[in-house]
Amino acid sequence: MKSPVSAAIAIALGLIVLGGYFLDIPVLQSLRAELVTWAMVLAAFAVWIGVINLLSVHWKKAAAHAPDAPYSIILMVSFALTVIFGFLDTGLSATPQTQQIVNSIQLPIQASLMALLAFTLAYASIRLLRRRRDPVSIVFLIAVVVFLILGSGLLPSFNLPVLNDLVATLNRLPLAGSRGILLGVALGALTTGLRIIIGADRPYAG
Amino acid sequence: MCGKSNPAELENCQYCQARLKPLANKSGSILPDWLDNLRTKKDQEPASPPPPPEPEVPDWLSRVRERSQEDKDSEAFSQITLPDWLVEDEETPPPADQATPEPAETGIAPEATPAWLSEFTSAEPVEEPKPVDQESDIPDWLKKFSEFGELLPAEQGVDAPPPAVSESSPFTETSLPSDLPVIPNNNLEQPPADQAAEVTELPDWMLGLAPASPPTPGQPSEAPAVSLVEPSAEDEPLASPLSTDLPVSLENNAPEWLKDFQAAGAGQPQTALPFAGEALPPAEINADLPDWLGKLSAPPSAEPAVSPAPEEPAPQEGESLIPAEIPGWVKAMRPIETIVPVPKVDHRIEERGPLAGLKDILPAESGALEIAPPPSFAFRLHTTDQQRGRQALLESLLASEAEPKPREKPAPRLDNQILRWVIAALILLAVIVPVVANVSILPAAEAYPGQAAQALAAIDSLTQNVPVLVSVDYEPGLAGEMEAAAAGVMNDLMARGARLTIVSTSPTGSALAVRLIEKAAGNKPEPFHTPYLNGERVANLGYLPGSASALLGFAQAPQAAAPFTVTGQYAWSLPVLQGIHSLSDFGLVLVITENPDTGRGWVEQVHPALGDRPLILVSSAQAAPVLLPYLDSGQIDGMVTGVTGGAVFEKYSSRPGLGQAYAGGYQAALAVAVCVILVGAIVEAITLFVKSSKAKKEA
Amino acid sequence: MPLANLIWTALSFIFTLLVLSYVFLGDNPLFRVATYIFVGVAAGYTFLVSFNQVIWPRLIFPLINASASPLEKALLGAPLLLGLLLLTKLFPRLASLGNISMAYLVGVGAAVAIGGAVLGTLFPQGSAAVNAFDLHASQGRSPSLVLIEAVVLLVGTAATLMYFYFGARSLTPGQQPQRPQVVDTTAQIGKYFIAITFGSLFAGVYIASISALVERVYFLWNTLF
Repeated sequence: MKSPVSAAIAIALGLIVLGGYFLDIPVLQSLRAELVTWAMVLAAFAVWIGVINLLSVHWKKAAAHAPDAPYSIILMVSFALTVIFGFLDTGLSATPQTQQIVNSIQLPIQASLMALLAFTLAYASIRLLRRRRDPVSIVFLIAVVVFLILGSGLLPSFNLPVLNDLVATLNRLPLAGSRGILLGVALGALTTGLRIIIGADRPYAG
Repeated sequence: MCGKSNPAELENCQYCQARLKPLANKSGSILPDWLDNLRTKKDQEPASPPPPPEPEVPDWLSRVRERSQEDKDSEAFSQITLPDWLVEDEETPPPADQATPEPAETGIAPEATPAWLSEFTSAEPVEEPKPVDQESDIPDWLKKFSEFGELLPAEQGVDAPPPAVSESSPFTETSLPSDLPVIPNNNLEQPPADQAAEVTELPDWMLGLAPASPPTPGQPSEAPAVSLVEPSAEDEPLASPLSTDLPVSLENNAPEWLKDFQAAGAGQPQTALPFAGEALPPAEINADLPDWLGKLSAPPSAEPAVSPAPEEPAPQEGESLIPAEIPGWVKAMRPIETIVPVPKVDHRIEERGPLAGLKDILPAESGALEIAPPPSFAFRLHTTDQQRGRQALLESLLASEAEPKPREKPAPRLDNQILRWVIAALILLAVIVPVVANVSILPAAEAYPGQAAQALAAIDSLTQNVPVLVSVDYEPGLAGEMEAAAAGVMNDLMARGARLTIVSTSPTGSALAVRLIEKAAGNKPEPFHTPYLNGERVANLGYLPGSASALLGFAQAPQAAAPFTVTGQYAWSLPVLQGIHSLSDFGLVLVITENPDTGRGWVEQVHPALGDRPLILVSSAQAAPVLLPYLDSGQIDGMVTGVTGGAVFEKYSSRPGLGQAYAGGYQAALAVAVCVILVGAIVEAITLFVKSSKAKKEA
Repeated sequence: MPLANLIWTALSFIFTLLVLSYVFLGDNPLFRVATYIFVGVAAGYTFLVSFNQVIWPRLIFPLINASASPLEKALLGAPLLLGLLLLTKLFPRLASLGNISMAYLVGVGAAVAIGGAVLGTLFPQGSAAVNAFDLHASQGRSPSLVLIEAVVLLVGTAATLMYFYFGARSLTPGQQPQRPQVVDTTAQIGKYFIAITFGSLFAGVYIASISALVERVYFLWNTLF
């Protein structure tokens, strides 16, 4: 058996936390609350690992003089400046100046990237029929147009009773597929979680 | 395979269906010619142990052998020049007394070694040596091994380019090692810390040899069993792990372990070695391996797995095939991926671009275009007919999906780039004109009618000074839409004097919350905005790491999960949070998110802890369709969706804000986009129809 | 406008233009510089927030704080140890030590996923699909319309689920296994419901991107004039 200690920890934690959903035992609830709080702290360490790994990859690319090495250097410098500025500005607490990093650098870049989708998706929609011409694609394209119109809020301004009923029904059509997808996701989460809790899957043993 | 006894005449195990008799024993004709020739030679010389097939021995091992020869017969060694070991073996076979110690050095009889293992140890790769950076060509199990030992690339690719990363890189050791193989070496002595790196530079099977060579009485005490990997000259740094001259450096630096090893070969019973005495039973090999591999791995005739030590009498033929189970660590080294295809789980790490190094991110290219049919299995799994049937059905379904659709060349008369520019210009104009002209077209209804009214009704039921929990759970990129949707709700809450407590499962949430309050207050804040802008009526609890787990923790024990504000104050003694002990003490929970999973997390984990308190969702248009079922089931008490929902809420609450300000450009751009998509799709459909009808006529 | 605000606004303006240059110039160095800076800054800010808002106040500060009781400090030893073990994942030779912490996270995450899925989605959504037939809750709409809608939604939900069902068997030996006819037909219907849902999702993404574009244009216009 590979890493039995890890498996035992995962199974025990899973049973305790899962038991808390169904059993209202004070001791169990307290233990569960403490364990979940620890998991939150642990998740912050996991964030660090992700960040450090990202940097290590770019460090290697920069050291290897890869074609996009200058960009990797830019990335690392911007990381370093952010961290230094953050610590110098706030010490150990957040202030509006540090928050300006989000509002004045992250937000404009990410929002502009999002805005680019407005152009590329329109182009992709036109080209869709060239790629796929089956009935499902046609239904998809029609649904896109209909929900764009509904989302714009322009259509109901005609204020016709028949249209209102039609719009209400159209609006509820995605509900069927969404509910099916949500139930499918829940069933998937259930089976995957159960496999972990009974020890059949051990994604942590790497 | 299953360990149960079977009648002698059976070819397959009646319990586990594993083959009991090797295929090679039935007929030698199934072997390749070269293997058949070997077998013929073997049959001709049954009495004496044959010399091991030298071409199977790795280069470095041959040098080890030379070293051993040198110790035994330096005179003979001086007459041999490299690569004379080949000449020596093929042209001038050594006498039997010289040949026997040689296999004892490794404890591995190459004939008894499975093909995959001999391939692994072989210094003469069948294919061209591959550069180190072509990792995609190396099987995963080999990658793991090479990462662990770092020796393989040096062996495999003598001409391999130098490593991409210099040894001085501080991050050399920082790559995530989550999938390194853990091969137990229980009886291996722990190397000193400064030698640890050297230890890892040898494959584990070689480390496994070390315990079999205890120090001889005459050996210096500072040479432990793990001196197999310890250079004698401490001041001389070990060659780079990827260096191609590692065997040479070992030869030069480690005479002690060689002596040690040689002594072990002479003095120790060979069965003590990991491979010795544990020759793989052919039946087991054939049952587990693919056919072609089974043929290769089955010895043409029963021959000693290990040549005997000089002191021991030569074993009778056939005795060397001792039935034994494959050791666990050998099993661990099996190239599973050659038998069972690695499932294409998308745990790839981004290698290019700014996200390089991150795991499990969405690829830039469409994944749907990369669907590959599942590879067929090369061996028989223990599956039922029903399971195989399901597999076949799944394969056929996937195959139809992966079938490439015929792509036609773009129309020559319409340049794609120009089309892109035209689309971009139209949409940009549609946005800019209403902004410049300050035109606002108020939407008459929201996308999902009635939701905003429900939300307003829930807020209307609140009393003055009520505590409200606000989750600012969106990414900065969606701030434009989320602020337009949420500003009206926030403005209404502030007008009612609500005490706002802010949390977020996103690191940027606390900063975006401050911006959201400023945006809701607008350019001309009213007096009731002041305590929110200066933070008096706001407790910003900041970041809750761990997504759904964090939400459960916060729902269960909010004071333990988020004890401090972002400014480091203990939050739960602040006036804003007076009287709050659990989430059901809040009058309302407002979740502002653009992510369906985050919305689902709040509904699944937090909603049960709220009792009868309302949960209102401000959602992006992109998340609304997925979250709609929760509104329908009553788990959400109101939903404000996107810019339209925000504008409608502002209209209902009679407080104009961002939603109405953005509505003009938003609606104009959407109208243009719908027209562009409709016209483009119709033109495209007509073009395709005309083309296909032309093609039919021509046919 | 204070100098700091001026600088921040200028940065915001420049970065917006750098990214939007993609519209007419395609992938160009300015665009790439902006995206790399974004990733670096985002990583830095995440690193900073993880420390400032989680690790320092909830782990390190209570440990060094004299007013904390020994029991509290002892209890914090566990997450500290688990966190340090998790950090060993950065070092290949010690990485296996981090499996314990990974197991901790995975075990908690699995249980949270199960509990949430069962109590928050499976039961409520299942009952909601049935409650749709409750004509008393039609809210003034025509009962026949409500009934038709409920049937359509139920069929759509079941058909969508069926689409992801791949169970099959062969009636006679050697025959290609196939899904039962009922399942297969329902799955074909489900495909169209999925197409409608994905169409609405695509439209939602497009609407979100248009909203982002409008916000950026507003920002650029208000900055200039």
